[in-house]
Amino acid sequence: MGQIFRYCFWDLLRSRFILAYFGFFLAGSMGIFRFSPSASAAFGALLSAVILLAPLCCQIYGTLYFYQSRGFHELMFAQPIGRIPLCLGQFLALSAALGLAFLMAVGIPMAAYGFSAGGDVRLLMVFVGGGLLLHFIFLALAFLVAVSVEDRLRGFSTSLVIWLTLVFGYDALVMALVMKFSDYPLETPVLAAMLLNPVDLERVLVLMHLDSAALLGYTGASFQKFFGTVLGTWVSLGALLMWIIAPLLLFLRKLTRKDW
Amino acid sequence: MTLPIRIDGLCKSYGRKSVLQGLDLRCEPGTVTAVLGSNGSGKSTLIRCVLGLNVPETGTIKVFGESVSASPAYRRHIGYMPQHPSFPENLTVHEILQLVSRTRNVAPDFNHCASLQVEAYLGQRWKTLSGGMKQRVNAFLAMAFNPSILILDEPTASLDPASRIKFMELVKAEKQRGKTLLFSTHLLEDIREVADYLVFLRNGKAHRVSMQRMMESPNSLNPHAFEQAVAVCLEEPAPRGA
Repeated sequence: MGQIFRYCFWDLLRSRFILAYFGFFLAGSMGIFRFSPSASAAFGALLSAVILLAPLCCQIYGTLYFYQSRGFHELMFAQPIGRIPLCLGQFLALSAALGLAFLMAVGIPMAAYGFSAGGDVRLLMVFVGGGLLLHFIFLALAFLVAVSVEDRLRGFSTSLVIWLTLVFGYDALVMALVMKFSDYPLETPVLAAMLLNPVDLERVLVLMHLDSAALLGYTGASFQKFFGTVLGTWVSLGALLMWIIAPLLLFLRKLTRKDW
Repeated sequence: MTLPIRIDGLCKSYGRKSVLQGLDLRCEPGTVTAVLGSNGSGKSTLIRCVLGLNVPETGTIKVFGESVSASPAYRRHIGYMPQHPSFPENLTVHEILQLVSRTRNVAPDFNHCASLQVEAYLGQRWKTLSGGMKQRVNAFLAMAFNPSILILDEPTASLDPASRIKFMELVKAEKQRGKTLLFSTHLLEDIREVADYLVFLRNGKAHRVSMQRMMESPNSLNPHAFEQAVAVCLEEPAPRGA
């Protein structure tokens, strides 16, 4: 697996997509930090861009990458190497390459502007750490889709639907339920609902560290009460890790049974 | 004797379509076996099952006595040349060779297939190679690690005539070195040049005929006697109760 990771990572570092991804986020982050009135406003704007675009890029590129690797898989599966080390090595290489591009593209402007504008280290860690985990989550989902759906067009569409559901659809559903049951105390169910969606979880974790958390009122306070504790931090981290582990295990299970 | 390839009762279906139905096959050491069949007869499925790319429903496949379902380690005996090779496009040929070499724990032997002249473009990235160059690297990767068995999936289908002649010379050299070859093809010229046995896939079963027998045509003056004999074998209905 180490060798596969090494060579695939090296291949990806030279790919145009990774360079474009790095360039896009670098330019976006620089622009946001340069023109935002405060660090808090900049983090808020950057958060919206990251939770919208990073999952989309990972989901679509991850699916395409796996489909495009079919010939490589066929050739490598004929070597004395198992399917799991090969594909896990590829997954880690892709996650590391996209994660590194994201880390550098967002980290450089943050270091340059964020701190001087009053950003704190915990916020930076939550923002970047959560962003990196989002990369792993959506790439795991992308690989699961690509191994499950034989037809590329259908796989591509499924990936888009997953992204739309987790980024927009889920929020719309939660909001509709909150409005329908507005007479009831909904803090705990909403908190549980946040834990079930990695995008919302990242959004809430970052917002809790920004000034704008005060605007959330009573809900914000109850969120702060949970996510501000050690238990809350561990539960959030566990939920995000489960979003990586569960699709990855399903992917590996399907991979070992798939006809190539 | 431990056979290079031994297949017993192999069954494989895709959904409701049964492709291989209790197929048995033996490949003796140092022989060249050509797999023939109409489109969809299961040639690629058979090869993919031997390589472990497809998982059969029932039956056993053994490579030098090792079951293919047990561990991927048996593939150290096999060199595989797919019809359309593909590698991460930003890796150089040198890096690709290193990757495969480290996976197999064997260094490539450049003298073994010197005529492929792979050294000339070791520094080039995969995406910059032409189709012909890719096929050369593909052939090199199958042969350079000195495997005992070569499995070739329609190896000359995308080669120009000159490259095809060179490639067939290499295959003949491998045969003379005592390698066991299993290949699928539609090209009867390839078969005539190197094959010892022909395996006709009909109704999910393999019917093996020696090349010698195929050439013993009752009408040896007919220049198309071999082609006609092959065509008859491909269309012949399966024996009753088979």
